[in-house]
Parts: sequence; structure tokens; C-alpha cells
Amino acid sequence: MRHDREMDCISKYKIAEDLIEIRTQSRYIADRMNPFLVSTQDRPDMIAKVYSRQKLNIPDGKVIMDEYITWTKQRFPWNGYSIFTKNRTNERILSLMNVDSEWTKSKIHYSEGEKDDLGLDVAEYLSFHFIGIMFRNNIINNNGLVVHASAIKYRNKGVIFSAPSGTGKSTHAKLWEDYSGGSATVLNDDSPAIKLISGVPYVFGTPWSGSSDKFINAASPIAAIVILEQADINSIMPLSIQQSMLRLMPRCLLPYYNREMMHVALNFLDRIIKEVPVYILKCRPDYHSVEKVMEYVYK
Amino acid sequence: MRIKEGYMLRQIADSWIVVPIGQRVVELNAIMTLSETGAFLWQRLEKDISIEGLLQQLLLDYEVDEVIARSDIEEFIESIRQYGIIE
Repeated sequence: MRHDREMDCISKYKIAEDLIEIRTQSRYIADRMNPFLVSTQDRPDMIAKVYSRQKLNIPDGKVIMDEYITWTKQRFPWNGYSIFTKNRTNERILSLMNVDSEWTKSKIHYSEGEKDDLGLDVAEYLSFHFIGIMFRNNIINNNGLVVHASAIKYRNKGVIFSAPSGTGKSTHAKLWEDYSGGSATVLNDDSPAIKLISGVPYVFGTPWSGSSDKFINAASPIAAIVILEQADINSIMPLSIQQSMLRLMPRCLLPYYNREMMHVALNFLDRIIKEVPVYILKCRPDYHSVEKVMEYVYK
Repeated sequence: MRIKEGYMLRQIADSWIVVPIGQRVVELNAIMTLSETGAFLWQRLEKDISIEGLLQQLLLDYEVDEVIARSDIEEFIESIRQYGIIE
């Protein structure tokens, strides 16, 4: 079946000052991106065209990563990556993205009507996730970085809580919302973006927030980055530059597949660590741990 | 002997770190850091070199006793061998 491109909805979205053009008929993607919709004639930083297909073929190319999502390197006739996910029995491709090596243009195809065990349109969700992969790589070339963290905005200051999965980032961010009576808001509960705006580090909400769906289109100058660690007694301590790097770098979504981009991303991280105070918060999941951070950040 | 392909040494936030490149990594679990001497040896080990070669280079650039230098080199090689990143 030939895809009817006349029916495409072309929209532009601004996420962390990155302008993204998306052409799609997917209602799910349009709804998810909607809070970031902008009206502008400006040239986009990246363009993703998302189409449904009845059948998708497994691409050739050297496999560079294969953990749930498979990445292959493409060299001819175009230079870039094919990124795809197969269904549970490995028989069919659910979603496939072909993207250039600069992360500026992609075609994403998803398998029509492919549902998971809960009846959700998993292929469309994956396509949305692939746009997120494209974004977090594209932003590296635009002075930014996506970090695995929960970020909040409170009294016009942004605080980023980062830790290995399962430590309690979301729980801690939720404590801020409750403690402040709702005046602290979660910018993004899984992967906020950091970007320098006129030399000032800002944290931005993005629509990719893991399974929590908790995000808003807002930004704030970063007052602190807080590394969380579970403990029986609450305590907070500033980290040295070296310790900050050792604790934060593993939580950043870095381009390990590409040496040149890795240098760009690490230069950026180096600058952020030198400009933003990083703390370690050893904490229990209680309001007192929130107060501990407030003592340092809002003194 | 030499460092295997797929690693990148770089200085960030006043430290020397080793980053895996082109491997199956989304997020790292641990970061390998090197001392100043470790970084010096690593850079030489990016091309094929012997322990004697490393020793000569180290003695040329650092004011260090030969016996201490040799044991530092052997210790360094042993520690990165444990990570399987030398061939």
C-alpha cells in the first residue's frame, strides 16, 4: 500500500531550544509532543518523518549495539545508523529508524497495528522513543546533553536529581512536589535536557520521561545537581569536581558509539561540572531529605 | 603489547578517564580513572610497545628511580590486564 503523504501532519516542536520537525499521521506521537508545539518558519535542527508500514525488512550493516534495541552502522548509499526493535519472538520488526550520522534527518517506520500484551500500540510508542534517541544525539551537536535524572523547578531554580535506576529519583522529586504544596514542579521524571543558554546552564523538560509520563514544557537555570544515595540518615555534602564527574558521567546519555561526538559531549559535561555545584545527598524517602537540599540550594 | 581498540583516554574535570567506544554501552556502570603516570603509559600503549620501551620513555620524562619506574609499569600493566583491555 502506498502511503498517502497528502495526509501528513507537519508540525514543529521546540524542546530545549532544539527545533524539531515531525511529519506523521500518528495520533500518539502528535499528542505526546503537543505541549512543545510551536509555530515558526525557522529551519529545524532535526526532521523526523514517521510512517506506518505493513511489512518492514531487517536492515543490513554492522551491529554496534544489540540490547532490546538493535543499532547497525550504515555506510552506503547513505552514512548513518539503522535502529530497530523486533517483536518478542524476533520474527517481525516493530519499528525502524534510518538516521543520518549527524542526527538531523530520519525516516521512522512502524509496523501497523502492532500491539503489546496490554493492547497498547507498541510500534507507535517505539517510534516516539526513537525520536527521543535522535533528539538526545542531535542536542549534543547543539550545546546540550540529556541526562538520566529527575529534574524539578522550584522558585525559578532547577535542581537535577540523578542516581542509578531504582535509587529513588522519582520518589524524591515527588516529595518536593508534596512538601512545597505543588509549587515545585517536575520538569521531567526520567531524561531532562541540559543546555547552555547565553553561557548559563539550564535544565529543560522533554516529552521523553520513561514510563512515568511526567513532564512539562518548561525550563529553569540549574541551581544544583544532586546525586542521590539511599541511607538511614539524611546528609548532604558538596562533591569535588573529580567526584562530580565520576558520579554524573555514568548517568549521562553519551554517544559511546562515536569518538568525535564523545569528545564534544564530554567537553560540554566538563563545562557543566565546573559551573554547577554538585552535591551528594544520602537520604531517606522523607521530607527531611528535601529540607537538607533546600538548606544548601535555597539559602 | 598494546591497548585494544575501542577505548578512548581523555582528560575531564581534572581527571584522566578511560571511556569505552563503539561497544554495547548506553549507560556506564563504572568509570576507569588513571593517574598522571597511568595516562602517560596508556598513551604510549596505544601503539605496540614493550615494557623496556615504556621504561625508557618514563625515565626520559619523569625524575624517577629505575626500580620504582619498572615496578610502577608492571603494576599498571597488571591492573589493565585484569580489565582485559590489553593485547
